[in-house]
Amino acid sequence: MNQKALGIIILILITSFIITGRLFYLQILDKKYKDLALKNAVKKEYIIPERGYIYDRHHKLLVSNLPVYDVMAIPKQIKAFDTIEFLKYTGIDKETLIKALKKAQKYSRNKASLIIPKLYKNEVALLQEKIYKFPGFFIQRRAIRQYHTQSAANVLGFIREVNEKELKKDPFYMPGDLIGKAGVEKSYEKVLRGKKGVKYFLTDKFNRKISSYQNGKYDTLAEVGKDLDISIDIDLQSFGDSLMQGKRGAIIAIEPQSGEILALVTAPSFPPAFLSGRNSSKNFNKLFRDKVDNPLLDRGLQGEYPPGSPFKMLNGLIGLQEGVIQPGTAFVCNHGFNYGRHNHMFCHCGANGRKVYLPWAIEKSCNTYFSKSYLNILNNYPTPAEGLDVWHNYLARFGLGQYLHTDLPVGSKGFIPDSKFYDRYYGKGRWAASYTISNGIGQGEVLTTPIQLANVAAAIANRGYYFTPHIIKKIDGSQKAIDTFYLKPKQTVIDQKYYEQIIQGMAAVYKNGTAKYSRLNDIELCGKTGTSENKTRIDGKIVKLPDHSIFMAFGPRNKPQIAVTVFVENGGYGATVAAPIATLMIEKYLRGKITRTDLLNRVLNTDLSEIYQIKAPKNNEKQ
Amino acid sequence: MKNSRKAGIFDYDWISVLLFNLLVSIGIISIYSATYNETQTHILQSFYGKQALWFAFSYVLIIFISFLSLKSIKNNASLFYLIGLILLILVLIVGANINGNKSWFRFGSFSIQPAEFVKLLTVLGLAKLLTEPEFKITRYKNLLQATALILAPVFLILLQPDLGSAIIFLSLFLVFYRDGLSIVYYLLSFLIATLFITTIYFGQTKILISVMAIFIIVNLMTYVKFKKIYWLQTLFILSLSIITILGTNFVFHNILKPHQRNRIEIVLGKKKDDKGTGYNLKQALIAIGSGGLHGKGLLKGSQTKGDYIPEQHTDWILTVIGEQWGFFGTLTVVLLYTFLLIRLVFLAERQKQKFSKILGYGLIAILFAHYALNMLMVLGLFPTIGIPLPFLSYGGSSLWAFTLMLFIFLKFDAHRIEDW
Repeated sequence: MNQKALGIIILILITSFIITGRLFYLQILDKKYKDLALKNAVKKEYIIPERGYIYDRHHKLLVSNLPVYDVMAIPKQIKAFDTIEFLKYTGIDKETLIKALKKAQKYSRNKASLIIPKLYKNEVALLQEKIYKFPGFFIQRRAIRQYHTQSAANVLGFIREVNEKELKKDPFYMPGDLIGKAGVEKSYEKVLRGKKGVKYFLTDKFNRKISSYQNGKYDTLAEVGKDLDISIDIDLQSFGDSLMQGKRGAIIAIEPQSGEILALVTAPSFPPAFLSGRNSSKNFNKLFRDKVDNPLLDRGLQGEYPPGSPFKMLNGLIGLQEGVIQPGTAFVCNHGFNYGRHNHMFCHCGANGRKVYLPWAIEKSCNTYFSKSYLNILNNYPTPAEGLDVWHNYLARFGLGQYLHTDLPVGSKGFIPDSKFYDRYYGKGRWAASYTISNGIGQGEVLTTPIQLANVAAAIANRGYYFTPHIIKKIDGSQKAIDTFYLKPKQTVIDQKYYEQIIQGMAAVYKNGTAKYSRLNDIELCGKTGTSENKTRIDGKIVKLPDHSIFMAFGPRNKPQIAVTVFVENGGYGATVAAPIATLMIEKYLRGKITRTDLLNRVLNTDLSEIYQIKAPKNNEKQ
Repeated sequence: MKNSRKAGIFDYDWISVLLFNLLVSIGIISIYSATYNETQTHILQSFYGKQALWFAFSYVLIIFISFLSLKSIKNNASLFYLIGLILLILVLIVGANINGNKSWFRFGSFSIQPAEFVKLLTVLGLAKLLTEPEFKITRYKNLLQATALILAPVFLILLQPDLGSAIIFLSLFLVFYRDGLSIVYYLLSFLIATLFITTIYFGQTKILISVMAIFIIVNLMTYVKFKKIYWLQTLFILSLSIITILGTNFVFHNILKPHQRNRIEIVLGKKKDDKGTGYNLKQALIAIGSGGLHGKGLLKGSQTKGDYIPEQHTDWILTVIGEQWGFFGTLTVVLLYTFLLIRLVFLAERQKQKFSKILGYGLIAILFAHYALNMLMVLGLFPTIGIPLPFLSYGGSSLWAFTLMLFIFLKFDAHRIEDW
């Protein structure tokens, strides 16, 4: 063959070789293009399942879902439209519309923006019919929470759009998804939210769907969120709300034999629907900024207060278990007693120099008896430090001074001092038991949350054990999925017989003691009043405020069905406000009705808002 | 052995005809999947339907060619060339303006791109010129004449402007090589092209220094070996190189248009532009690359179905093949072209008459340029220019022009032993 023809053939072959080599590289060696093609063309679309409903312990519906309609618009597609007609159909004013459209325009011309959020079905009906008159606008359905109660906002919590942090933490969420932010909505988020379905689509270069990807081979169905039955008795809860009108504080009611929380009232509060619906963001900010009433604080779970006299029950129990006091043990009380050269513990039990024995000491809340018991517990050991740590450990078995680990997302530890605390304060070995004497009567360094104290009441009612307080009763109609942590009893390591002695005293409190005016005629209750001192700083001066009113109770004595703790901030004597509230809660729960209407009226007519005004003068000025 | 029977349509080289049919068929299937649309109503409104119709009509052309007198083709070749030039002038005057290019004659809903047919007409003119008695390509006067003959349509096409087609015409210089022009011209052109590209890539000074260094080393080596310095040759090549290097920036920044600069820089990897000019290329590479070894199957290509590559049924048809049939598919197409081109070289070589041999090489040059530049462009090895893949890409003008060119040559080949 001609040499030049051969040259041309070689040129052809070299070119084809280069092309083949490049194709080989692209199609076989370089693997990245497969992913790129999928990323390009296959788009996921999530199907958001309906969120689970929430019921109370008697399967009364508390929370369901309500469809609402968002009016959306894609600015690029909007053509001139009859504004007046649009405003008529939607019921919004012109300024709002112009503002929303400007904002949408600024965000993106091609993407849909929210113009009017959360219209209800009847509000959107007119527009839905005439939407064809407004090109670029469309209506999008979504669900918000619908509440069938005015109560229990702190328990139910609320849902909002996920934030950046939550998006990063859990890949389940996409921007715009809703997530539980408080209450059971938060702690049972994974149960309530269900499982998203996924649909894969092939899309074209304009992101328009062409068809399902591989005939839906990889698609998954959405799973509806599971329903919850919570342990709250909603009637009891809202009854508690009404009792707390005009007061600050908390009521906790627990079923002792299960640890289920029957009522978790915090005051002041707000209706749960306040954080759902059209104004939820505005409302949330309002609540968040209210540092005077602090309605977002769950006082039942987070409030830390000196427990006062109910704490004496614990010192009694520990003293009995430690053997430092016995049924026959008596202390002389003469309006209190002197400990050390200059220190006097006051007492108002009225013994006037007589001997004080155990049940009576509870009945009359004798400070002498319990502070002496406390000193004996500590001094029973070579050093007060060792004794204090033994005491501390007993209290830890009741869940005090640490998180209770309820299944609600908030809580506080409270405080129970140990030897390290005083070592740091006074120096190691440089303090005596008497330095800490206020702990004996539930003052001093000791702090508890209302739910911790309610749990103590439940442990006493059970004579020695408790179930960690929890809000869950059933998941998807069954108890199987409940965390076994809540189903196992926790022992307090104090013998049952010692409980009986304490309970005898607590029953006497209702019969002849500090709560005798609150007693119920045919149900034997046990209780203990408490009055804890508190101070605040106003204009640089320490001002003593009215005492917190505290009451701890359970009943009936022999077959306890409910244990209650009531804290009323600055409510005065435990007997005046807290005891009637606790008794009314118990009666409401046990009988379903109130016979002590006198008590009820007294509680309803107690309004402490004037006292609260003193507490926060600064904030009031600002407002 | 003398064949007394006059050659007919069945004496056409069957291998070439087979390859032609295979390529067009692959093209129609690819166009079908590139433009597939579930709501399509009428087959003749679809792209693949139209392409099939034009394929059928190309057989009318083939039959028409079989009635043509070879002698009259040869004798009127100069006239054909002139008609070609007139068509190119006419399209500048009365052509439809599509995307800023005046490349099309429009007859109602039907339009024709004259440049496609002018390729054949120019080849005929070239064959006529090169077969003139006393014509010698090695003679400068004749070389200049032949060069002018090629550059005339190139100039007119650049006025449209249609850079792609213009570049295709330059491939006709390959014919000169077969006609006896020294390879030195081609090597020098290759040198200029290489220097142009490397200068854009590495910058003027770096290339200037390296070129100097290379010349010193080469001269030293030749001196050591032959004890002699080739002053004249060295000086010539050196000055050509320096002019090229110094001229590169001027040509690049002052003569090339911004979009052309962009395309060169994208191929050189100096610029990333996935949204603008580089978008097509990026999507093309994704389509081809994601095809893998055996492809995703007919109508299964997500890139193709998503219409990610504009013009995927015309210039970028290789992406459809690459995505749906993978490496097997693209290799098949490459092999079909390679076979066809080499077969055509064999056919050209067996011509008794110079006219048909030049015609054959003209066809080979243009076909080769289309095939090579289109594929290199789609694969990101050559700047994006709008030229179709012969026989495969959608478009009546292109298909008919290539059919005419191929079958006129095949007719000459069939009658090669006859005295026409």
